[in-house]
Amino acid sequence: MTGIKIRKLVFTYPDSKYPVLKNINLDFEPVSWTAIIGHNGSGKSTLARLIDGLLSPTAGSIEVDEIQVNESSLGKIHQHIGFVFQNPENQFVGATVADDVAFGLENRQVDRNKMEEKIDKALKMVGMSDYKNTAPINLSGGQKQRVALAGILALMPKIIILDEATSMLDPLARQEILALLQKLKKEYNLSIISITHDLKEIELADKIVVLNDSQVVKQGAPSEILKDKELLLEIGVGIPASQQLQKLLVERGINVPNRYLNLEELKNWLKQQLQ
Amino acid sequence: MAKAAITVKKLHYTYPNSTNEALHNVSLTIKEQEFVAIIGQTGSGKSTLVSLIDGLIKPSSGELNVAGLEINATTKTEYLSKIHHQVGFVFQFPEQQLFAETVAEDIAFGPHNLGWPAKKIEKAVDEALKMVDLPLELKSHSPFALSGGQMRRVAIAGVLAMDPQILILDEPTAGLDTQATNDLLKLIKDLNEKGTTIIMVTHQMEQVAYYANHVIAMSNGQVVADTTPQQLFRDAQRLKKLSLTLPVSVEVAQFLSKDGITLKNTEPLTLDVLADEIAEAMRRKRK
Repeated sequence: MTGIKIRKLVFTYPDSKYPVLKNINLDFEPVSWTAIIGHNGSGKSTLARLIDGLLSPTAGSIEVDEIQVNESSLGKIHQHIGFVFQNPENQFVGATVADDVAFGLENRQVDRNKMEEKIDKALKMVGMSDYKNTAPINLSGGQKQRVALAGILALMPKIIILDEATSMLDPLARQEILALLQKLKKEYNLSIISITHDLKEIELADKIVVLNDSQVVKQGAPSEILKDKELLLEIGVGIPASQQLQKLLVERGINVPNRYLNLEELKNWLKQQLQ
Repeated sequence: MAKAAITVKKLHYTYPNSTNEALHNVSLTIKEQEFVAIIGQTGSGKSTLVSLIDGLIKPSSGELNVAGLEINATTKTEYLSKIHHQVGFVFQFPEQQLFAETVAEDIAFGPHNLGWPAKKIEKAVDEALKMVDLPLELKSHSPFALSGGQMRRVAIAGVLAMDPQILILDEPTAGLDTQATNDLLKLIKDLNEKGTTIIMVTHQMEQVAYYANHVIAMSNGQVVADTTPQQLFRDAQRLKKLSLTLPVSVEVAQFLSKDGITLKNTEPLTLDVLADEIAEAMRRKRK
């Protein structure tokens, strides 16, 4: 696995005069977690769909594991990439959880005998083995999103793209799904690309890419991007609680280290100071 | 002492074709001008409770008094509709229910149903648009040509136009970005300060801490906490049992107190208050 290379990518929707993406150059390292952030309409979802071959570039190129993404390579690309959408409701096709996970496998013409085994394994990976014969309608939002994830994991992709996949979940279900993804990433050497507004999800990334006005305006580690308060406000994701508290403490004359601390780091720093 | 806006006594509710009670023996009082947060996991009975308060369904047993209207299992459906003169309900993702050709028509729909005269409706539409901070020029636009945040505000204007004494909102900020979320919460707070009783269903503990003065926690169809945010967050164990999280400000204070660093206020509801407490503790230590 060599990751994803995007060069001089331009995309304009048919019927539109203006490109949604102009001259994008990006590299996604293998086995890394990248968060793509930006305003609604900044081109985030379009970029994800281009990587997955759901849309074709107007100009420029995308390579996934050294395979050029185009119409003839789509089958191969979809073996590498699994896509989880925002609303799990729109992704269900099966009458039971197992049927639903089977759908993707059937499309790949996986041997019937092997299918059962793969379904069981995928459901186990997301902690939903007990719900194998449940109708999707009886699941909570978090459970549905786990099943959607199982359907993708059954196909053993190397890259998972999350398009606002946790935005419809309540905070606890969101925490659980994100913890699960972190675990799976480690165990199965997955690469994750998450498109999100959620600060907790953003903080999990190894790298953050900021899109604004159809261009990459900044990229770097969370410690670098998340201390840029002006940029965060401008793109509408808000300021992390740890950064807000850091600022309030500085205003009260407290000498907080002048670098980005996440909440755990800030808590531990405060403990040291006060003990 | 403020008058009771809503009293609920021994309320039970079972959905048709279901054998499980969605609400079990719920009793509570909400006073006029309170800002109430209703919290709990998905399926805990929050939505059922607010649907009963809005007269969308009738209790299986027990009774409610909503702004002076008595409701029980035998209440006639026509009588229930009287509630809508007093109570406004902003559903989850309300923009999905926009339907009219223009913004003005959409907002006028509720007041029209209440039988208001045309002049009064026109005035109410303009005032509602101003309240949600949308320009009057939008009146003639199609609601579907607006951005997501604007569509949400049009939907909310449609409820505000009916001038409700009691406003129920079911996760009003779900799916909005930070700026739109803050703008909307400020609007709700302003309405509350001008006298509207607010009942807000939310999963966001920061919103409970910042805005509510009364919090009702539901679990398995029952009220498991009916208290102030400060009291609720004091009991971290219970919150954990209810699968609820703490606001960051309280989380930090409790983390410090575990290591023997106790702040004067152990449940700071805002980061500002927390920062004050930490600054104070630092000063004490230096001495």
